[in-house]
Amino acid sequence: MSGRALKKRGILPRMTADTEAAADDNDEQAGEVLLNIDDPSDEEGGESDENEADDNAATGDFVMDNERDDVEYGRTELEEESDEDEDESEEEGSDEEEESDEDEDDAEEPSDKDEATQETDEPAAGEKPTKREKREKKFVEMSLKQMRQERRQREAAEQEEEGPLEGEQDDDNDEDEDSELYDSDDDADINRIGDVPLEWYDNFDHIGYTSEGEKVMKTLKASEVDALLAKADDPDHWKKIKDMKNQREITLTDTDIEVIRRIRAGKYPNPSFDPDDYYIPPMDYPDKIHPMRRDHPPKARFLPSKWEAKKIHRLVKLIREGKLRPPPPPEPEMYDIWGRNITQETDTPKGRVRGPPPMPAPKMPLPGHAESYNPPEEYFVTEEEKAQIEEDGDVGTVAQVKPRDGRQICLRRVPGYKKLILERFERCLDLYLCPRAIKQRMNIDPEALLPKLSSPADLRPFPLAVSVSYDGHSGMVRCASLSPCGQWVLTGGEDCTLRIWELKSGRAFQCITFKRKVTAASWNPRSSTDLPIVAVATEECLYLLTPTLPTYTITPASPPDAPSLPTEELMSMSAKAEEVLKLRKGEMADGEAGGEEDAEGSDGEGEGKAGEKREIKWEEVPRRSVLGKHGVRLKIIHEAVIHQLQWHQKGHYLAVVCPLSPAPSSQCVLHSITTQVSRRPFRKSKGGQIQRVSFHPSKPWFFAATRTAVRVYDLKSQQLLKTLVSGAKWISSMHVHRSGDHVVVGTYDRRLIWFDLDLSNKPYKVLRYHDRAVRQVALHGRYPLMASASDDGCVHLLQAKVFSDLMQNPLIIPLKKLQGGHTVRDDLGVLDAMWHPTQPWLLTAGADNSVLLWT
Amino acid sequence: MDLSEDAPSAEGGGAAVAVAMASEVSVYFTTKLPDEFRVAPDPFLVPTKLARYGLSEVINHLLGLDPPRPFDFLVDDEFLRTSLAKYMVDHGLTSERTLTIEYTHALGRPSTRDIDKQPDWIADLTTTHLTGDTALLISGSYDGVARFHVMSSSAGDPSPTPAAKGALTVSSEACIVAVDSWSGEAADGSPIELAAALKNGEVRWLCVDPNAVESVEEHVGRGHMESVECVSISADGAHIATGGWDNSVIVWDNTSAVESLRANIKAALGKRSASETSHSPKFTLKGHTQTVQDVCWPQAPGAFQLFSASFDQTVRVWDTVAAMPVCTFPCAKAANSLSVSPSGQELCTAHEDGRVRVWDIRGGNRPAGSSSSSASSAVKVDASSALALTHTYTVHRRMVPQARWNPYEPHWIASVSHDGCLKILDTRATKLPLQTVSLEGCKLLTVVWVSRSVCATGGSDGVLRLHELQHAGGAVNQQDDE
Repeated sequence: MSGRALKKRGILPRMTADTEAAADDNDEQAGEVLLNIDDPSDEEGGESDENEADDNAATGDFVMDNERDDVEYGRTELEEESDEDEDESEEEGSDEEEESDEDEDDAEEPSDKDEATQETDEPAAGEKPTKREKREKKFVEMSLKQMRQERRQREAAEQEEEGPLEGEQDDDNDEDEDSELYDSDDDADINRIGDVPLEWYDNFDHIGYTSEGEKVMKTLKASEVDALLAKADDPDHWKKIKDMKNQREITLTDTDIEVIRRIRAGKYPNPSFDPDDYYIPPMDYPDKIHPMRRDHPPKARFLPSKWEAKKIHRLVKLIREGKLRPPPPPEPEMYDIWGRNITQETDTPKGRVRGPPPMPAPKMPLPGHAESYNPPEEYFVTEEEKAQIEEDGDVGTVAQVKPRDGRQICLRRVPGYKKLILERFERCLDLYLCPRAIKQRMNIDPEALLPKLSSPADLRPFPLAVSVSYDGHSGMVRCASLSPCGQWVLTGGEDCTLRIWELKSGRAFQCITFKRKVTAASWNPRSSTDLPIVAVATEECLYLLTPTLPTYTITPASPPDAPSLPTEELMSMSAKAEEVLKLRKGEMADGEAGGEEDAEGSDGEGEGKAGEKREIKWEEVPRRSVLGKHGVRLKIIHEAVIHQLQWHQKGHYLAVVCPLSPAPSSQCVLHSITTQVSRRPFRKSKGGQIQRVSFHPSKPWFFAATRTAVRVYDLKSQQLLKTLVSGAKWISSMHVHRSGDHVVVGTYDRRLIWFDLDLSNKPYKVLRYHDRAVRQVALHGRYPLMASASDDGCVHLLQAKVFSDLMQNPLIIPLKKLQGGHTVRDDLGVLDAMWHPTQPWLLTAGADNSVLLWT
Repeated sequence: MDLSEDAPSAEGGGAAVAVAMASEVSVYFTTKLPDEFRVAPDPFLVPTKLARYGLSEVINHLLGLDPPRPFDFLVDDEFLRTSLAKYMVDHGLTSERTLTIEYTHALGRPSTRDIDKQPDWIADLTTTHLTGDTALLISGSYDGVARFHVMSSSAGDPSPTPAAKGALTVSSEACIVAVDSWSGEAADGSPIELAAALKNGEVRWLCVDPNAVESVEEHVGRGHMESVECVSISADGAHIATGGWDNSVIVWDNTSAVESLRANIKAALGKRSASETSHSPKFTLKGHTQTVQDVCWPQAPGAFQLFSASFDQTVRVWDTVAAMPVCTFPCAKAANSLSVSPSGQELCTAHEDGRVRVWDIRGGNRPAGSSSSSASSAVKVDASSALALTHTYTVHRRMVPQARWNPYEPHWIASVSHDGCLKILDTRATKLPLQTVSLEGCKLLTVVWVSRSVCATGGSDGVLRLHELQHAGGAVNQQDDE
């Protein structure tokens, strides 16, 4: 070891010694030695100095051995080499001497040991040497080695001075020994048993083996008596250490003891070591992080920081304002084991999350005793049970638990199971198919299952914008109706006027002022052919009139080649209508007498009385009156405000709905125009007030909508056919499709309900597009168009395509939201809507006094 | 002008305009204007960033006009509405190509004059020539009265001075829906013929003495089973075609009236025949499935083909000699009005969706530069021909009741709408109208061209208005050029 390294060691604040030797058997002895050092060093300090030179060789041995951590090895080698080299006798002699020394030591030991144990309990008490002790020991070895080198150099120098005469042989010996020792520095233990406990060799006369495989015989005497004797004999016995593993005895030199003493005193082991050489003056390193100066810290360090105070103040403020909150408590970790993520490895901030392991395949149930080839007795069917089975014929319960009669005495007699291969195969197949079945789950986008709706641009024509406005009304326009030819527009409103406009120009051709508000108005469907009659309802009064429009005064010119046309053919349309609207008193009386019918199943009870009591009077309007001049001809007074006027397609019948009438039978009245007979089809109203009625376009059916349901009656057989349950609270409007198989209903609770009579009594579709109550629904007569007018001021257009084949359901596609035309006034928006009979144009009447034609 | 500093070498004409611009294009300027507005027929180098305003400045600078006048520019028979660069990009032209730009006077804002206030809505207007300088403007109202106005224009002043001539009650019962008029060989003071379609299904045509405004002869045609919607007198006056709500087109024989007009009608003057002559249809053309909204004879003298437009979204062509349908053209929407261009090669239809559509009768194979040639010959249509849509003008917000070609100017169409707008459309300007007259609070129902630059409109307020189109003079204001 170099001197520099030793110096480095020297500056270490605490001395260290290696620990390995501590594990050796002779720990106790080493400890003893160390302990014993104190006493003699204190008492025999001078003596140890004197002995230094004498014990040179032994000290060298010791040092070397300690350096190698194995005390015995160096010694043994030394012995061997010395045996080989020259003087066996000498060596033997020395051995003997040593032995005698040992004896002396042994003799002395007990007393010393007692003292030592008394003085320093700690190292002895701890069976295992502490780390510090080991380090100390190691350090002692190092220091000893160093010191010995120095001493050797010094001695060499002295010999040179004095001359090589004295003790030449010894010196040579020393040198030889030294060289040998240095050579043997790196050699291993004599005893090569390794780290095994030495107790293992307690029962043998050897304690291990050398590298050549020879036994290391137990030569050292370990008895206490020997130790006591040796102690008594040898005053230097305390310096000897027994290495039990390598079976040798080591004598500490005075130098060793001095080193140990110095280490224990907390001094540098080498007395010549000057720690001041190692003072490194403080330097200012550019990258220093710790201060090297001893200046007084500035005052600011002891004062509370202003900026910190500000920051704290700010944080406190934020906390008080609630802007700064403590982080929320971490959410409990939830694992959605059925979710998708759990089965996939996902990289989360916390790390890789692995899903649960794949589910193991279910195991087959283990066979029970009953399936054994040699089941116990109790698993067999007893005679009683056999009898019972034969008696009952009930094989199931007993036979299930009892094995069949196939008992075998031993396993090799068991025949082969025929279904083994099959069942194994099926089992394997099950296991094989199992994951595939999982993979075959529905992986279809639900959107893809929906039918593809064509875009509204492909479904043209439909109205897009306002084209014509009909200006003139000064109150809410309650009703709007287009003439069947499409040339005239009929509107009536709360300004008590009924106006007839030209469709194209929007010019009013006729304006009739009534005394009450016009609540409903409707053209006769035959207006374009032969009966230009308009029915107008002004609250309770129903007026029938022929509009004085120039169109209806056209008299067909008689062709010159066929002069003999009947007079009716030559009459103008208005003349024909006048003829129809002439009051026929006698006929009316007849009709009234027997006209009361009941579709609900008449019981004929008090019919005449009731009929007379609630007689419906047809009155003639005088021609010279204001109304008469405008073409108003007949007047029929009802019991309540008329809400709807619905003509039959053939124009002979007019259905009037007044839901608020006190008598339930008067809620719906049917007037026959040609016979001037009025009938009340319903005696009592089942299902509440009738809101709307409609005729079937081809069959003699009659649709009556109550608040919640639509009832379909057969007028011929006078019975209820169907009840269409809408699910809505209050039906506001109804329109029957021209095929008669579909009914559209608008409700005040914002719904638009489509009934398919062929499908069921429940709605086929319920559409909720409107924000407010739906006032009117209308289906186009030619185009597959549907419009719904609402109080939110919008009209929604929908494509309502009805297929002629029964396989396809009606297709309803929203097309457009017509807005911007009508404004909402008093929470009322668009009050009425009607399609043009031939064009895809929509006529709407609004609460803002406007009537608009959308094209 | 800014340009004068940029282009000093252009002074004196002939030299190319050296404008220090990166991208330039050489152009020829041509014009049909008189010589005083003509520039040298040399190529000019103009920056492509120039649009209408910039080009107008160039022309003004070249001509040295003071005050400057706005011009409009046509490239390939199409009005330039963008910058030259964008035009070239749109049409895939490179700057190596020399453009030929034709320039005309820009159309200024029309001046509107109220001529007459009538008690009822004006349903239709028609004009007829009396003499060379005077024209008769006849308005048919919903009150059944036809009112006459004489438009006399002197040679120096193109704007006519209207004078109310009088009113003639055609029918006291029904309202007039459509009128048409015809004057024979223009003789001074000779009677004219006025045909009116009535709501009560009658067609009345009268021989009217324009000076005294009284009918000399009255003819009534009864044959329509519904209201008559339109009426048109053929170019030779021999036939009157009507269409109505009974989906039929009826052609009436008018030869007797024409003959009496041709014979010296002056003898009959003064003794007005009280009795009216009743007519039955010469023949009825059935084929339309919905209301016939307009019928139109081409203006060419020998035309025997009749066009009719209907709500059933078709335009049909009828052979009036054989009384046969010739062909049916679908026209996308219900048509309110139909008008044949003076060249007889194009149609324009007015629709209720606020659009005016222009169709080429010849199936879209329009040879270049044919607009001026063969203006007088009517195009023969046979069953194989098709109607090709050339332009769609989305210019109105409400229904367009009428759109009419200018008979004196082959490119101009006047259209009126319920939103109170009169739009002057040009077939060479594909999208935007040339000029707009917007009237608040009245529905315009009818428009008629009185002369080349004057049209008259009538509507729901009963006011007969005269709109005079004039070339914008004075300063080139920034507004003209968007």
